[in-house]
Amino acid sequence: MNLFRILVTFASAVLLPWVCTAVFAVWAGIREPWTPLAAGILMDALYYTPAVSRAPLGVISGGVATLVLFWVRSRLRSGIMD
Amino acid sequence: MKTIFSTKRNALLTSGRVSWGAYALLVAVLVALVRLVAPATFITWVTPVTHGSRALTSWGEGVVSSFEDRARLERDVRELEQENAVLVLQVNELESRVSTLTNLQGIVRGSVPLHKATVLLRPPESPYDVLVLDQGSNAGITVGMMASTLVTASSSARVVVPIGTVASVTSTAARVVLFTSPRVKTSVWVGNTHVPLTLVGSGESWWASAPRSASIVVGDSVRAPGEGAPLGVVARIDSDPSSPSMGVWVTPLVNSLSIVDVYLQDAGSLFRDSVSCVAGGTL
Repeated sequence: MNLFRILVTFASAVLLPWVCTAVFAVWAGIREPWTPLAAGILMDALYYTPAVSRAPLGVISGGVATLVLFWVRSRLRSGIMD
Repeated sequence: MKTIFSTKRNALLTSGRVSWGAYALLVAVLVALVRLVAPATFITWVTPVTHGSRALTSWGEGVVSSFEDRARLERDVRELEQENAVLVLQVNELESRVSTLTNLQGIVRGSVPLHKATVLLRPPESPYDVLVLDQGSNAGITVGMMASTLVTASSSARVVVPIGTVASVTSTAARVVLFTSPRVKTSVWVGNTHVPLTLVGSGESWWASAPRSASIVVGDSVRAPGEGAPLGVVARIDSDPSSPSMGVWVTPLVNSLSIVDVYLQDAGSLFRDSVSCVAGGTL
């Protein structure tokens, strides 16, 4: 199931609007917190060009989401997540 | 003895096995490295995926349209075929007129090579206002070229509308930054009185500041410098009596979500100088 969530997130990076990818990344990140960062790196690999933005926003927002998800997991009892 | 560290309660190391998320991160990093080290290979990998995506989209549209009235669709096709035949005749007549006038005036028009490219990736999949094209330097595309698309302006005319400028090129792909991108400034002419304005992209439209005395009204056409190709129309004017300036909102003629084919050509230094970054400098 976790792998399915990650595959859906990666597929949406090409097939669906970026907002859907962001939602799927958080959805997958609940179980696999590295997924938002991975999705952000993938999005920037596909679309980023320095002429549009100085900073790679996908990597930054994905990294922030990953940190938040790890923090949330650390605050919860491990028995709930696993 | 009290346990100080336990992997079972550590957020970063949830268990002994490597998670699927870590594998996904590894794959994403590898993809990013391929783009950095071998961009042409990267586009070669991405192209089949995007073509598959387009085929899937077309199939979905076909399924949706199959529920529509078949008779009405057939009637529309017949009308379009008749319209197309009339247009072909009109184009032939116009071409012969241009040829005759050119010969009479002794004008020799230098032909600028025009390159056609297909859009691989576009908004809204792209979070940036960027189009990724399937043609690159191997096809003669260079940084700074003007990207245009064809738009049906009325039942009998299609106009070429500039949409952006080529920001980066690899051997097999190019990235076009749209004029509507928030970091792009574009110099334009507005209305019949040719009021000069500098548009700043805001994602789906443009914004510009103009003096209150400028004769700009809603509905005025906005044209690019050079040959004056149409870019959009003035959609809204925010005028405050206490301010010496007014805000002008311009809607583009092209919806970036529906661009399929793009035409690229070197539009000259006048065009390149008219497009710049908000922070200064050229794109």
